[in-house]
Amino acid sequence: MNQTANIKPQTPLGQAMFVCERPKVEYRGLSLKIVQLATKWGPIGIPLLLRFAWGIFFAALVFVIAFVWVVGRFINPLLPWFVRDVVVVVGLLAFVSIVAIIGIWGERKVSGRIQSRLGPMRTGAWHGWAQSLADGLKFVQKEDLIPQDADKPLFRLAPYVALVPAFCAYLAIPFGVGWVFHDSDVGLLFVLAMLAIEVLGVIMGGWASNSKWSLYGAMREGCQLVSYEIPMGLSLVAAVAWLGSLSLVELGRAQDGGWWSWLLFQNPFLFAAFFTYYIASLASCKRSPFDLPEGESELVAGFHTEYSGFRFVMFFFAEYMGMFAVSAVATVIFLGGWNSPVPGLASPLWFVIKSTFLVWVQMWVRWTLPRIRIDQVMHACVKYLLPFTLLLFVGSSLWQLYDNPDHRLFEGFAAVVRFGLGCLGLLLLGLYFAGAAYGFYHRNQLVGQMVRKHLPGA
Amino acid sequence: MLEAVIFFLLAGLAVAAGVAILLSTSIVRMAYWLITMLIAVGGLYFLLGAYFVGVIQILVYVGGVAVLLVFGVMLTSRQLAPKLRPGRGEVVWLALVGFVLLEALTLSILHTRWQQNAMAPANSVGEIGRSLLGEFLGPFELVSVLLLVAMLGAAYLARPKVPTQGPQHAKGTTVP
Repeated sequence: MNQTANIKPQTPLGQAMFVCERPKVEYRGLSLKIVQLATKWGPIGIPLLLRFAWGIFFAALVFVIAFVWVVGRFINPLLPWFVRDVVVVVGLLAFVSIVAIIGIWGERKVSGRIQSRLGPMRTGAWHGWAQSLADGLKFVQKEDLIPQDADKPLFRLAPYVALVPAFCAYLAIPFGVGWVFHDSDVGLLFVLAMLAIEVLGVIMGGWASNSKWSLYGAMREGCQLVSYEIPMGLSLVAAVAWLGSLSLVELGRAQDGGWWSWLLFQNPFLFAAFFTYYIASLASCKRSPFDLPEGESELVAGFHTEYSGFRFVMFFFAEYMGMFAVSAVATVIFLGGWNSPVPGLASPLWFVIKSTFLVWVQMWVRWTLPRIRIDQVMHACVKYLLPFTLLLFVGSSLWQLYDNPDHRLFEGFAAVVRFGLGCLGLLLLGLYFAGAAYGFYHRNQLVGQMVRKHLPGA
Repeated sequence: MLEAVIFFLLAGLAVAAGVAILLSTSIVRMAYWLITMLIAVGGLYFLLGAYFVGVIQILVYVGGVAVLLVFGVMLTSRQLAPKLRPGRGEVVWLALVGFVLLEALTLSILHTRWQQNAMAPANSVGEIGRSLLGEFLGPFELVSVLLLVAMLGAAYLARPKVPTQGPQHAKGTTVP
């Protein structure tokens, strides 16, 4: 200590001020292997990879398609069931990782576009497409920091608890007829249950970090999720009651034949239910304007403040997988799933395109709307979204009842009931848009009288 | 064979988690062991082919109840969290209650005629719904009234304790 104190004044001022002694990071185990490989092959491999990026991309695409076709056509019938399961799970894992990697890159490009920037441009040959891969390499090499006073087992476990259920949700999501790991008759509930467990990991990580920012983030996540699960479930119940099944494959199959047979366009109540589901799903995968659990402006990074390295990446992956999963559920239930807008062109490609569109809208919303306060979040859910969803459910059920051949309740005056319900549905839709317009018009106004007093300029 | 292996894995996990709830002193750890046990029991339902019950177990208990439980526990500070050690008088009562419960469970397990039937029909959701609104309509409605009462009670307990400062309220009372 004395020596350093003596030496310091002798060094030039400019250097001494900014020299920061960094503790030497010791790589062990897998990370050591990766670092060794990266230093050995990186200088040769990465330039080559970038040089032939497009070629590698298309070759991989062709290879994946050919592999899936060959396995499905020739190998799958010969193999025992568990080999098929392993192959499908590995394929799903690859798909989900690609979704997360492209999603993270896409988020940065979309945000750049909306904020008149370029976003990542350098890594990779075209528009920084390899940025996520480079970030992944960086994160893998980083030190795995654990706070000294953290609850260490729970801290280590939390990213897995977030990531694994988010992946398990994909086991029940159908990409097409026959393109599903397990077609269960409770597929929809399974996806919702898995997305509910994911939140537990977030809360676990937030609590175990032993940091006030993380704890605040976790608490916000808990109360936000438990509240928004109800409008989310209720708007799905309206759709499920309309089609009469909980199996996602059945729900998708029932909407075959053109865009007018999609559930979204069946009646005005279901049309509105799609939007309530979408809003609630934004809250449940903590996207803006409901991204309070990781509110960067007030809670450093929220529940993952203390995480670094690969555990941080796992939280990120879980978030993007959750985003795609809720969009996939919305696609299958409201937007016709894998059915094309024109009858007879059903393909898993449609499913991926529609879900990607919904994910893109989530990004668009995130970079357009400001984050709202936690009391506003609860206010919006309990006072507005929940009664509105209940009304939608009742209206949709009544609409279904009037021309059901099993129930002759409204037989005599079906036209009157239909007209009345139509008017009510249109009124609700109008209220929906009027409420949105009202909120937009008063976007600078604070909700509470109490807060307004203390804020300057309000 | 595989079913037996999975069964013993899940059952062992459930029992181990149950024992861990008893042995751990940190209340958050207890909550997470409870969640582990609930998920393991949900896995047992899946193994039995009762997908609907298993999914509802996870959705309601893990997604709803356990999240609220952990949420409530997190509001207590870690330093101030009570070490959960029962007193000497409580031990007697707890032992008595535990013994009665154990006896009841053991007797009911021993006296049940276990039958190994084929799996339930695949469309179990419809069956459950029909029996809830048909055969068991009375108990179902009673349970829903009970839940309503519980909800009203919770709202009553959670109301603001400070009386509102209305003019008619403050008239009769003297301010100390």
